[in-house]
Amino acid sequence: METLTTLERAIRLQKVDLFSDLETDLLALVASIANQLEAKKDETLFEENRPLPALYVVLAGRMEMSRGGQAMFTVGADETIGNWALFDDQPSVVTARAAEDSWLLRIDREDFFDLLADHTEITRKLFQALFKRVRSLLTAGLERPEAATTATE
Amino acid sequence: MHVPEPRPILAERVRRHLGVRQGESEPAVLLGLQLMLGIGSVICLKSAADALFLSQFDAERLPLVDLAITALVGVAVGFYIRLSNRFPVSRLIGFSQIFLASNLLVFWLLMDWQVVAVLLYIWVGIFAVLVPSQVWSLAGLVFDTRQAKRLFALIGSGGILGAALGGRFASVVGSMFGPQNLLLPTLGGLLLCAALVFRLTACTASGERVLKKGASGQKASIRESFRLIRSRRYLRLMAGVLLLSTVVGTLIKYQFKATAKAHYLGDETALVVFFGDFNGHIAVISFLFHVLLSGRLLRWIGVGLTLLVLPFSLSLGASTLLFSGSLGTAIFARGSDLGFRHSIDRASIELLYVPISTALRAQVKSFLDMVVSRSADGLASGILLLVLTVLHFGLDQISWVSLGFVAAWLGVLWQLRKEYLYTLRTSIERKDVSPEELLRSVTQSAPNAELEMTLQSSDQRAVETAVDWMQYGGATGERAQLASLLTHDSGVIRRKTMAVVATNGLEDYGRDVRKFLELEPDIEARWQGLTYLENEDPVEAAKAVEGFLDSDDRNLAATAAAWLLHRGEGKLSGAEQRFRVYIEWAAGSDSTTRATAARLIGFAPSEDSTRSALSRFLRDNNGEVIRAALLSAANVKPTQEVPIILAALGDRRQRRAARGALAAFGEPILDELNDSLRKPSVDLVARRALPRVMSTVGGPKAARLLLAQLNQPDRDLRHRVLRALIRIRENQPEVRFDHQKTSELVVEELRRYYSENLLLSGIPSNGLGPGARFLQRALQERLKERVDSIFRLLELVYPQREISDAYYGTLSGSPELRSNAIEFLDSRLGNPVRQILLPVLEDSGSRRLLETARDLFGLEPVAYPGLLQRLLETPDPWLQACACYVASENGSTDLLPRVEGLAQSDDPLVAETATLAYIQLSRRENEPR
Repeated sequence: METLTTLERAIRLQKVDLFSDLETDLLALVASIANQLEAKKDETLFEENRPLPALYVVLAGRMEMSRGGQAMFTVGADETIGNWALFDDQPSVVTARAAEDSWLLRIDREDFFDLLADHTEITRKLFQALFKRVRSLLTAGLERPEAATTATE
Repeated sequence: MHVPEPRPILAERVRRHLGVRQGESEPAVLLGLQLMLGIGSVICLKSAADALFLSQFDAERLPLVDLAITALVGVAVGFYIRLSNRFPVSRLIGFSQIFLASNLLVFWLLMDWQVVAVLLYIWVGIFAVLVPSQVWSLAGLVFDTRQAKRLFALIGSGGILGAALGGRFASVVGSMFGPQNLLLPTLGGLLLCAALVFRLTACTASGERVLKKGASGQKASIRESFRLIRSRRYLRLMAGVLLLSTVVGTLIKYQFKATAKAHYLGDETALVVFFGDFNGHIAVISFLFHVLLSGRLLRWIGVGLTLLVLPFSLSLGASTLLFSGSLGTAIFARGSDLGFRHSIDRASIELLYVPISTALRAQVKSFLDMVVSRSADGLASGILLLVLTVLHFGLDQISWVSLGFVAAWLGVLWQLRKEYLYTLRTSIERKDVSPEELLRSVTQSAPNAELEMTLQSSDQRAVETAVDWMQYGGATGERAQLASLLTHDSGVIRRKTMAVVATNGLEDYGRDVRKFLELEPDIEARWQGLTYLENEDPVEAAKAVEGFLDSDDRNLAATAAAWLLHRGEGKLSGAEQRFRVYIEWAAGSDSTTRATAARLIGFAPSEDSTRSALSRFLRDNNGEVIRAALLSAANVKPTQEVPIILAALGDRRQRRAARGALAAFGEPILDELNDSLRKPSVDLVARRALPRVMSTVGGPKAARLLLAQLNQPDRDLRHRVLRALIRIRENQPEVRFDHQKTSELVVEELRRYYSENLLLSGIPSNGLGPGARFLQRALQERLKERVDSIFRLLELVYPQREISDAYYGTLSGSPELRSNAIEFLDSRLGNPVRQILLPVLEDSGSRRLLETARDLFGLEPVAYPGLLQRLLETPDPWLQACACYVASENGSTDLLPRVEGLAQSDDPLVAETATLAYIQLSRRENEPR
């Protein structure tokens, strides 16, 4: 796979849930700190119970996630690994290994924080996206009892 | 490249001309037909009833029967409102019309009795109120504010057409078969009208809405409607306008009828022909006026001015009657009344109902339309009886009374216009709660015991939070607990506690604060502690400061010296000398001491030695020292150091302190900041921080300079300038912005919107590659950004809250709120902004936007391959980069020269994308065909 330009990386990043509300030019800023890397078949990307300081986006290939040596699920093209690693410094609960030759984008937490500090508009958009998600969860929680009441009436 | 527009078919052209949009045709036509049949029946029956009555009774009896109509309309409306509580609106209207049709059959059968002429006259009076009001009620439920503004004029034209046809029909059929035989065909018209009501309910989703709304179950009664109207100024003013307009209309109607009776000597057939012809001709004139001008007038000058048309025309009519009592002047006066009342005035009055909530409208509309209007008829009849029988006025002198009422009417209209805007505004207003208020109410409701327990917690973060809560909630807490927190191991907790003690005005903490001062190295917190001591007990404070001067902690000693210098007591205890020595010593010490010294300079009065020390600290190699020096620079204001402070704006860690330092210079620094903002040679990151500094300085000069900087090529910088302007607007509402200049900027932004929209609409919706889809998204974002900028600019020159609420209203998912927001802007904004902005806000489809782009800016649509060329030439680097990528994706080798040029761009993203695109396009061009 050829090395992607910043714009091509931005196009790929728009599918990442966390960045889905970012404007395209802000996506390009995130893309500018994303590094493209290759993982050969059976190569381990990160290990269980070890710090996970980055978010990964699979560009091509397939990554296998396992826990305690037991395969759990695989992640394919345009899917992400370590969604919350950018905000959460807890160790990884899974091991990621390339199930086939794969290409990934890696966004390091420290680079990401630097970017947020320089571009508050990205921070604002991310907060909006997170709050939207929290609100929808709350709304769903509030609506459920109502639905139950209606059903019993 | 010009894309030929497909030729619209005739029906589509007519629809566009009339302002009817997708899904609106059927309900609009059905309502227009209902109004046509309803008004046609009213005119036909009025001609018959007038002729039958006037042929058998004197004109002087007219006020008496009009009074009877008033009384009976009240009864009928009360009954009708009660029925409206029980039945859905559409069913009630449909069946009531069938019932009214059956009444006509009874009248026709009993027509030989003389009393039937009186009963019919009264019945027609009630009928004339009820039926048109029913149709308008339905229209108000089916359409929202914006639709109403476009479609009410069209629906109203159905009514005028009905009046024309009804009048002509009455004239022809009445002269052939006699007025009493007009009742049967009218009966048929009414039944057809009822059928149309049921059809409207069945045909569309809005029909279902109509059905539902009727069965809202709200308790409406005449008394409740009256109470609601009395309690709301807007409704009171509306009632006032309706009352006054009807009184004047009734007075002129009497003059007209009495003149006609005298002219035709009471001949029944001649009268029915005259009334029929008159009504028919007036309706035609009214129809033409309505179709050609009403809708346009409403759109051009707005409801505030269209409401003035009727009072002015009536005052003219009444004035002519004063000078000549001939049938011609009577026709002119009555014609002016009818011509405008059922066209522009009716459409305008109906628009006044729209900003009222649906529930309230349902409760008050029938009352206003029927009871108020009939009460006005009653009032006018009473006035007529008074002036004719007691004051013995001649027919022409009644005009003086009319003119008096017109004057009052104009006064009420003036008030109503302002109230209309206010009602629209409140209907879109967001009910914001200030976060501070919310936090305060939460913290005040926190139980003290729980708070005190948290303060004892071993969890440092829990203690910090509890102290924060105390500060927001103004809590006093347990003395012993707070005292211990002032010497807490955590500096954060110590400092926060000091802030609580100082800002919440807590007393008797002097001894604990002294301990705090010995422990706490932070200068700001120490200064707060010293200020607290000074306020508590100046004598004790002086003693404490003297003690600190000899402290082994040189920073504490220097703080005490700075305090004395600050108080003008530098000579005491050699504080001045001690401070100077300290600064010299600190300059050669570790970074923490240097930072402390740099910060202390800001608290002591400026002198040459400390200024030169500050200059050194500003150039220190340690970030903390520079930051402290920048904070002090805000107090010292070293003019010669402005360039270095400006440069510090480029460093994220120093930016905040540098902003404060620059802003502290105040207005004198604005020109220098403005020059730096303009110069491309200044670091862009630093330039981006300048608008905020200028907004902190504020004032008219900052506003003027920033407004002139809105043409910055860098998008981000432009946004920051706009945000800075908004900040000035928020913090200094007294600052006035140049209206003309701002309008020009809004129009320019709108021009860009239309231009980018043309590019967006040129991208096909199917078969796009990932790059083209990305470009499409980027263009959509630009359009959203433009609208956002437009509203921000409008906030500068219009009441900020109103514009902001309207903006959020236009983004709302609620059609009613959105519609009211657009209507509000329509009424509030001036041209040309209004004319250009409204098509952008209204969900009117791309065709209208394309037309507006062509008509107003001469912009023509561009087809897909051509638009890439346009995008490659845009000054927006992001769109250029996207276009390069799409050119490569599409294999558009014709764009190769331009792409090659962009590979040399200063923007790294554009250069990178263009280089790749160039390589791929060149490869493609060199491929064998």
